[in-house]
Amino acid sequence: MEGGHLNDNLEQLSLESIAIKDSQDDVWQDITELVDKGTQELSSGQLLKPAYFTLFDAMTSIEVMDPRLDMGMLSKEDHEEIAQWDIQRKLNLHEALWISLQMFRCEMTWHMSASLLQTIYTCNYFTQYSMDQMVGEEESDNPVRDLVLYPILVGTGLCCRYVWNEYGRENVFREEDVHFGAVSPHFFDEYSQSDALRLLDVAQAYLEQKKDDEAAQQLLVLVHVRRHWLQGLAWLSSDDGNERALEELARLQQVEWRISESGQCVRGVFDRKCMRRYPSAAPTKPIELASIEKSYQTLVQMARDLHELLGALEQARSVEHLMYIFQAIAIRSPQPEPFVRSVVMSAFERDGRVRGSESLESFARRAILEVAAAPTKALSAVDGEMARVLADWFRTHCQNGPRQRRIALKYLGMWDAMQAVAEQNDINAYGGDPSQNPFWTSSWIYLMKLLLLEEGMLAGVRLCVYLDYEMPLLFGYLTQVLEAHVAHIDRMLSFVAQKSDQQPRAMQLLRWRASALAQKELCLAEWLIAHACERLNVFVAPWHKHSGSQSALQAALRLDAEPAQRARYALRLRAMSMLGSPSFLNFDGWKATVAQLDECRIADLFEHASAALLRARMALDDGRRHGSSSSDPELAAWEAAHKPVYHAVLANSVSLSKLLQSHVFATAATAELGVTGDAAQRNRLSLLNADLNAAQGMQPTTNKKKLKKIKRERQWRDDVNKLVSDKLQISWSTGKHPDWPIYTFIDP
Amino acid sequence: MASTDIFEYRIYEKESDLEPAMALIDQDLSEPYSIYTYRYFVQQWPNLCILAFNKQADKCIGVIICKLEPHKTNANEYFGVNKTVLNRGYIGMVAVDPQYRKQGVGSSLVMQALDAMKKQGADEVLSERC
Repeated sequence: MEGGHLNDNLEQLSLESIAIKDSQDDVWQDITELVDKGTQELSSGQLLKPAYFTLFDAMTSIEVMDPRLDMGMLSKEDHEEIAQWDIQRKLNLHEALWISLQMFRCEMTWHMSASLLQTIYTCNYFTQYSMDQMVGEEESDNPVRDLVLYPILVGTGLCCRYVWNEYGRENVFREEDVHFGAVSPHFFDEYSQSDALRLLDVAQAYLEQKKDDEAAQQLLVLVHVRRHWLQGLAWLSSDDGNERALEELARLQQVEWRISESGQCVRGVFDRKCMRRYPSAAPTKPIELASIEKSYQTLVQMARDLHELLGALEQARSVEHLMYIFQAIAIRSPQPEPFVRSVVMSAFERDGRVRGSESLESFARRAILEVAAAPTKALSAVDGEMARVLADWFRTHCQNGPRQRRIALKYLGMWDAMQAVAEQNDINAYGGDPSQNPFWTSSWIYLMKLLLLEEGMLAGVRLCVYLDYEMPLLFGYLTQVLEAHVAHIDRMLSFVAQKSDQQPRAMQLLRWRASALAQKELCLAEWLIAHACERLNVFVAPWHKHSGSQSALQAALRLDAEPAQRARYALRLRAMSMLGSPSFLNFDGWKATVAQLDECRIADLFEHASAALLRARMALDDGRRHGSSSSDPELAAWEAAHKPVYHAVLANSVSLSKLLQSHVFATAATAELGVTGDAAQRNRLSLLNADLNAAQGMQPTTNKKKLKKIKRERQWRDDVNKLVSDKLQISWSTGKHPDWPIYTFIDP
Repeated sequence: MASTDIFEYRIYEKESDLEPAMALIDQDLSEPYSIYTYRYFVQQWPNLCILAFNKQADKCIGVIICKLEPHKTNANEYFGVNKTVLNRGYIGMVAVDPQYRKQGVGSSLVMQALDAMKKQGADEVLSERC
């Protein structure tokens, strides 16, 4: 004990008191009583530690007999359960059904990012390396085990092996999507796919003889599901097997899931504490296995997602089409499982080839030609680095939600650096006059960077990164970015329009323009509504939700003051401030932008928002019209990528229309809502100061004018609060398409 | 410590504060920490462990656990060429009960922790993910 004296019992436990030997002659001693006596004299919270006890030491320690960490600790019940295990047990069909269903739950829970050691490896039949030679043999004296259960388990093992190999491609993130752990997996490696399929045939033949047995019929369902999933995975892992994989996945979805009972429990088969056999694996949090129904839904959803997404990839011809597909994957809610996302990414790019045939460099060239409508001669400067960054653009869309946002904002720097180099190359090729230089390559890079920036910002809404009081800033800034986006495309179009032979490619730019314009108008509407909500005290910063205590008021004043506002602005928009383009709107510029709204009454803000939504709808219709010349799958992909925008535009249009028709703003009482944004902020500050003075026990002012002003300000604030609570209940949610808030205005 | 109508904030005081803090953090982390990890922080930097309580429910609903120690660094423009040791703060864990999220509790905990570290001379503060 630092600075203290160890009692005799603890002295004996000190590492310095005995010579530590590491030999076979060591005799283990039970020190429980010694530790108990020694620690009796310590007071609660008192700590004994070596002088240098590092964070690493702390994190690698375990608390002996803590069931969360001490994997070797087995209770009496655990011992009893483990003792029940008997591989020679003669199983009946109901028991085989129970074991198979539990394994199915384990497998699907593993897909939901659980550890192998908490799922698949808990099954003793699975981890028993030396299998009985009678597996699959009709002469077996344990036919249910050898002709039914083991075929299903071997099939499961091979499916897991294919999935494991796919994860080995590292398309999804280890610690967030997939739990690898320090385990070298074994998935019945001695069996090939044809062995597994043969065994499943044997199981099917055995079960079909028992048509009257309900358990047999349900096991047959599991055999069919296993076969189609196994064959689908096998085809997916081959270079050109996607078409056959889609057929198997379609068959899997058609299998009727007639599972009505869970079978008969067999004790000892599943060892939930199997982690004790893998001391190098870090302990994980206890989990609950997914239910049978949830497991089936997960499998079917994976099959459905794979079928849909791989099918869409097969049909995509243009880079634009591929981009829509991946954008739609990114915004899907709920997200596809990690395995699905990994397979989609592998189907897109593997070993430097796009869809098995085209090199990444060639794909990057095609991207610039198509998206920027550039002439072929402009593409002198496409290199491997640019191609890899483009592949990463697609890969970002296949990550889990939080990771998508993180790496989107992180990759902006790479795109920014690439743009600077490409700009110089474009200047070398076409000269420095911007009115003459189309800047083909750097324009394309800028376009891709803008898409990534916008997606990164909107992902924050989806992930609930922002509190409601930040919505005006978020959507206000995003409006500026999208305005820059539209202006950029207009510039690109001006060069394309000069060349009549580029007209077909101009259509693609027009679609991108329609998309950016629709989002810009929607963003503008969201900004105006959020700004109105802020003025109406609906969106309130957390430090304003206080009791009126002195410290809370002081904190509120400090956090409302300009230095704190500047700091928050800089922090929230840090990723944008580090980019060369679009030009970063600094805090003073932002204040000037917001001041433009100052002349608008709250009613005006809602009307302008409604008009913006109408323009957004027109832009979306334009986009569809420009897309009508594309193939049906391409148009469908465009619509899927823009579904959240459509939904937000329509839902908010309806809400605003009801609000504006309700005449809430027509009464005399609401005429006071003409107070401007700047005045609203001054009002808030003035009341804060008055409240703080009161909390500090200061004498109220005797200046009648000031008293009257404060009274009037309080009355205004009370009127607004009453209006909102009595007449205009505003709420917002993100719901099914979480990128864009949907507002509801209820006039009771 | 700042307080509101509903929430009260205070620093770690005693061993019994550890249990609710651990329960909150264990709920959300992917891997369990042993008690030694918590003790490593709170024994050395008790005033950098801040807890948030719901006054009405008398329940711990948020916690932040940090540390602050010297860290060798290369000379750089920002801190000056002569400064080779920085006081580096580190936010180890932050957790808020899901029921009380989106009410500014996490932000308050972080801001109070940063204030405390600044008062103790922190030059920089890191967290796991930025």
